[in-house]
Amino acid sequence: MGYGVEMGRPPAVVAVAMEAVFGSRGRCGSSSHHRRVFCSANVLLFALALCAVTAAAAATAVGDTSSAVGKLINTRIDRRIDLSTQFVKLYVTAKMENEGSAEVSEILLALPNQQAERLAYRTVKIGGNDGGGAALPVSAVVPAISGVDPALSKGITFFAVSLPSPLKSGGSLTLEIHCVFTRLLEPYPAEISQQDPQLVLYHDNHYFLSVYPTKTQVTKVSLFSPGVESYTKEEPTRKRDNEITYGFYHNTQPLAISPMRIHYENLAKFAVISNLVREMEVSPWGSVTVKEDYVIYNGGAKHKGTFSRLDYQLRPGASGAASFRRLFATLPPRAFDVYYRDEIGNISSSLLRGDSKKTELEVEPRFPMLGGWKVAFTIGYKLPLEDCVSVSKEDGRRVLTMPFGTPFEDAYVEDLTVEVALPEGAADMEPVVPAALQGAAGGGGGGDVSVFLSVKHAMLDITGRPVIVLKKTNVVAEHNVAFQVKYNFAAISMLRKPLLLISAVGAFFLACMVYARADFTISKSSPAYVARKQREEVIDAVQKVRAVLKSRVGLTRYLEASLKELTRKGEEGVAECKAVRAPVEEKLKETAKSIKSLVDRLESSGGRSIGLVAKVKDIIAKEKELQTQAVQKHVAMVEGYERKLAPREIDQRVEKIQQRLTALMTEVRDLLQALDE
Amino acid sequence: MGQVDSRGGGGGGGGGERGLRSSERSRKSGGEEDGERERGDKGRSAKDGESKGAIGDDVSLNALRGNPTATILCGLTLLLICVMAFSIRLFSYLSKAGVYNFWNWFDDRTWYPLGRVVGGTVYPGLMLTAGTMWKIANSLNIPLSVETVCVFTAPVFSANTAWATFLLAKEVRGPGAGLTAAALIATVPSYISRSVAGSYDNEGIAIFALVFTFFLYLKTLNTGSLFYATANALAYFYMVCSWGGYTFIINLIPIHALVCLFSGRYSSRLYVAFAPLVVFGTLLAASVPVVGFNAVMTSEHFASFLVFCILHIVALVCFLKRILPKKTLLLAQTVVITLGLGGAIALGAVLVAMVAKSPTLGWSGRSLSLLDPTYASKYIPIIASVSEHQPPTWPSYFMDIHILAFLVPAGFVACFLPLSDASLFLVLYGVTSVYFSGVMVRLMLVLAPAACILSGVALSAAFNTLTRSAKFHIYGFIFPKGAPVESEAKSTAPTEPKVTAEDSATDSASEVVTPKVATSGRKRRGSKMKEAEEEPQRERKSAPSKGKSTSKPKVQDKRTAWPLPLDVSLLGLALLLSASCFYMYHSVWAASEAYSAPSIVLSTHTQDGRTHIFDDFREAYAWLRHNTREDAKVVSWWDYGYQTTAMANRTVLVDNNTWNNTHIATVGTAMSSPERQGWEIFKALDVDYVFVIFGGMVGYPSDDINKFLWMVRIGGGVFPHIKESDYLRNGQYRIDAQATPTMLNCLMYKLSYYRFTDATGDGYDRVRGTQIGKKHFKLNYFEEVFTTQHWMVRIYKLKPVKNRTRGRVKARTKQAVRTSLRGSVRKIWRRRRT
Repeated sequence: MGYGVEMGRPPAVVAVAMEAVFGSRGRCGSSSHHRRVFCSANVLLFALALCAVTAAAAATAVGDTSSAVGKLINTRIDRRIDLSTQFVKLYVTAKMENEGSAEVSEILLALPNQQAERLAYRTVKIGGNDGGGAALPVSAVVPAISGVDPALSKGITFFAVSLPSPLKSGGSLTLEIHCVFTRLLEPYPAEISQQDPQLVLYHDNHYFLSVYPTKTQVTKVSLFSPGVESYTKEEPTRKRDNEITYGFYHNTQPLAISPMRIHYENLAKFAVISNLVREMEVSPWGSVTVKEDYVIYNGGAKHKGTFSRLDYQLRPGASGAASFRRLFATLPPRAFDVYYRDEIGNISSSLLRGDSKKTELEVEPRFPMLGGWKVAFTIGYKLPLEDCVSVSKEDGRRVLTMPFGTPFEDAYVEDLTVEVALPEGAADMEPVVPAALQGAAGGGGGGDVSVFLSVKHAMLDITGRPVIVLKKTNVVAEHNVAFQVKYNFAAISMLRKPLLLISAVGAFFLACMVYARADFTISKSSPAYVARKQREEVIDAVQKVRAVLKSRVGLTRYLEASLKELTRKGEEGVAECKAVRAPVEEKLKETAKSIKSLVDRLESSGGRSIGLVAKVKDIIAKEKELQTQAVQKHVAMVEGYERKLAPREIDQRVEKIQQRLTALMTEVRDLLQALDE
Repeated sequence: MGQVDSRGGGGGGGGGERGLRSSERSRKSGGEEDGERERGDKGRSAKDGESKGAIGDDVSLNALRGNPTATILCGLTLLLICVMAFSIRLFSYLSKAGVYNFWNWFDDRTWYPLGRVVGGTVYPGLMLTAGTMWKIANSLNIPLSVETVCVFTAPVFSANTAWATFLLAKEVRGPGAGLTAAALIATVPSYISRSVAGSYDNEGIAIFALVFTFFLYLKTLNTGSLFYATANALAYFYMVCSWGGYTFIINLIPIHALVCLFSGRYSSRLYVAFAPLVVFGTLLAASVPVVGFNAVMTSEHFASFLVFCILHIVALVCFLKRILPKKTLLLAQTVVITLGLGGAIALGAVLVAMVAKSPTLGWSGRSLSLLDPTYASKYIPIIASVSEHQPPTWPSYFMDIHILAFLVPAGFVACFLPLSDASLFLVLYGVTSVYFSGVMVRLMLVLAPAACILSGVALSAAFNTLTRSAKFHIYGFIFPKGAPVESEAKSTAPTEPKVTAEDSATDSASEVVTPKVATSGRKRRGSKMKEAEEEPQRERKSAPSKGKSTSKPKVQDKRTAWPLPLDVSLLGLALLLSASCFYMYHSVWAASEAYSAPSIVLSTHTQDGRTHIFDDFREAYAWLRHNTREDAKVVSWWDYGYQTTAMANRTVLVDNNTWNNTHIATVGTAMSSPERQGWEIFKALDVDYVFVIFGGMVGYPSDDINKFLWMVRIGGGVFPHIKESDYLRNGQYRIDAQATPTMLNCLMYKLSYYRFTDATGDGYDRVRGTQIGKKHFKLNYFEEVFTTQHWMVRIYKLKPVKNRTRGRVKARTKQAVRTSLRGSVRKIWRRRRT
């Protein structure tokens, strides 16, 4: 009993007191299950300890420390407990000194089980100049092995911090400990109506719980507001505004306990994300798509009775004070295509602003979140690929770097799943999870990050895209660090889908081409088949005749056009107009030949289409006449102009031809139509 | 419209009933002309709010500024319209459970405690279509969500409709008319209302099926091909699967066949087109569960059977005429007529007797309300209460089909130039659909394709004439008196009847106008285009035998040679084009303003130009979904049933499928009863939550108070102790101080106006434009558990049965021991209650 005589209590009493103080936590919330588990573990440890330590070292005096614990003392402890949010945030600066003769390479930290269960995040760093700021490795340890008196250690979880370099005898160092606990604040009363403020209870120890004796210590508790219902006092205790200071206390015994209980008003957001699935999908074509499905509830005191919109709107501060209306998320910079919706459509109450460092998203759930109310929604956004994926210099692999936790401030996630879908064709995947996520909670409630692999089929995938699934419970804002996924991806794989689409469309057209060209008739000699063939031939020939006739009509037009020019220019155009006629006539002759051959073909091919052949012949005859008439007219008009006759005279001369021409034109037109049918 | 009545009528009484209808209509059909008016109203009332005093001011300010501006608008799942919500739910079930389970699906989520057999009471076409699309997409590893497929089903099918319309019009009057008709239907506002992305509704695909069936019928009629006849029967089957409107097909086609028979147009093509459709169509229709034996049992289908018989008689007569010599034929005729007449009369009498046995003559209520527009309002209030079943107003014609309303008569005229089998069908289609659209707003949808095709025919004929005249003047003056040559040759079409039709139609059009123009010189130019379309008819009378023979003497040439003057034709073209432009402009406007807004999310513009969104419905549904027990029963008026099941995922008592009138009447009765009786009815039905829609705070006119008279009527139809007159003061529906005590004490009033006066200060109802009659009261049997931001949805929970009521219950069942102590307790309790 070297230290803290005035504060000291018999060990057995301490253990009982621990139960009494922290046991009340077991009643609230869902921690009862965990408690039972850990109690049984304790019993087991206790039995072990009995065998290993107590029996062997029966003669050891009570205050003697074993070798593993070492002869360390806390020279000064500055503890700050931040209770102004729904979390309990613990900041401890501990100055320690090695008073023993042996070197110490491990330092033990202690937390009551009830707190350890709800421990979400914890870092231990060496403070001062020589610390370097790197977090030290921490592991949960069995107290018996560490040599702590088992009777004292009941209900306490121990962690061992390994020092980078052993602390020499007489040396000192400063440890900076930061812990975050979730759901340690118990709403009391557990159910409130709309008008009531939200009060919560906080249980702790007036002293910093340490396996080492402490020379001087002080604890500052910051609250949400000055409003406090009650708080325990351990003199000297001082309350100023929303801060309560306990201490200074001097010469505290190892694992000394004095129960602290604060009942105060806390109107912070008690937003709890019970389930969050973050799906990320890497597209090699330039973006990373993130989709986050939330189920959020208000984890504070439950709302009871009516909800009156009137009161809520009239007295926004006082009515429904414990509720929250908005949530803020900080998305990575350059996020685009942000959406916010739920299963019944878009939710229009949201606000987005961004600058070069971050994108801020403010969302408002469909209804105000009173205590215990739940809501589900989805937000999603895209990030430019170059912001997230880089190529590693070591092995040339691609490295995807993304934030791990939720972008929402003031909320924690009970159950987080992160799914990273890599592009199809990616190989050699390897997730790199930072230390801040790994084993952070140690023996407490939040576990390690567990990793699974799966495959997902999306947009035209054939083999599917590899998916890396990371799971973690009890995730707080401090976990929002970047994690990485390394993978190999050949650039040629990017062309898979375009090639697939091109070949599919190509195949379709190819099939069409084959179908249109190939002859699928089963019997080539059936009369129907022959008839069809013949018919096709006839139609073909007729079409050709038609085309030729059309071109001939075009020639006529050409002639007419030249005449038109002639009438405009008068005598000067005569030569020009004359020149037109010769080639036209030549062409007409040419076409006449081709028509003849076509008609021959028609006659030979179509035994059945005699009527048609007659019709065609009729047309051709008429058309021929038309052409001769047109040429005649041309000749007549040119002549007229050559002789410098009066226009009227020319008209008279031409009139007869013109009439005949018109009649023929109509006829030919009608015949052509008839032919089509 | 009526809404103006209800607002302007003052004192909230005014034209209560008319106000009622119109406001319902605006909510139901997701827009129509009320849509924007409603919004305008809201804007106005919001402004009212700012200028008004006290708390009301506060609240509306909240409403306007409390929300952050909406910056994120996701493009997906935007619109969820009423019925669609249910369909999506069906579809998601279908996609999960498969087709066979779907047929047998018993839905216990709705019509509690009765449940509903969904497979047998729903038209599965939409679900199966979307399901197939979804499956195909997913089998190609295109991960479309169920909602995405639902959202885009209607737009995909509207494209199909445009194509089918093209084919149909092409069958009637060639590709020119087809293109015009397709262009028109692509933007016709009436159809846009059902084909916007997100409108997942039966009609969306049914209109395609309707037009396509008609096309195949005409195709068969024109070609006589059995292939098309088979396809026709299948298309008809698809139509039966998709929509109850299939009865329109199975009545219209027989009518056409009958008219053909009586006008001496019988041909083997008609037989091939009609007979297989009746046989196979009926067989296929009967295999759709929701139709089943109705396909042969109900009067809606009898017309086809009757015409089927007549067709065969005619076919037999034709056959006999061909094989028998004349004398024998006469003999046979007399024998058959004398014998057959007796038999036919006897048969007919039996038939009439059988039909007459059923009170509605074998017609279903909906069909009867079509045949007799006053039927529904007299006998079936529940059908009459649906706004879509009301007759439309004139403005709604203009809103829905715009210039087509004026082009349709021209289209009728064009159909007679000349009359072919196909154009006869078009005429009949037009006439019947005009009639039906006059009976019900909803059937405006059936009119839309007919109007588009008729107008397409008219427009293309007019364009043809005008452009030809213009061309003639611009290119053709080298033939001073001749007609242009080959441009004509192009406007030919594949099948025989059409070509002559179009040709002669256009010819005659151009022929005709000439004398008129010559005489009347510069007539009013505005009417030119009309003339161009109408005059052919006159001309036709003068030259009725102008025909198909191709070699015509010069007489015709001369007449053909007289086109319209250039200025007239150009002016006509300009006018027609500008009319088309106006049509397009109107359609775009209607699509963006009236039909794109989902009825479930309302919006208004604030004074500084921002859009303010009223998303109260979904707020309430989301609240119900997340913060009530999984098996909670929610009751509301039936309009919101589908939405509640789909969006809130809670069991409802009544929904938009109004198959059980009594159940709806029970809910109506509870709402119209005093608080305690209402509570008892609801308790007996195991209800946990009640919600009402209330627009008095922000001026949303389609709320439950405005629908309340229908609840009274429907409730009173089954439970006679609810009398409509109790709720009316001097025949006026009002909620102000003049209202009847029954009205002021009924559950609906109380649930709507609970603590309303505290919020507004003076209890001024913005929809009814008056102060409410009973301002301060308490609820004893219900407690307010949620009210949305703008008070549009108010959710109440039924209080549990009080312990003390035990004594009371026993007293009522006469098993109580009447000790003095208990008696006094009861007295105290009663005093407290009152």
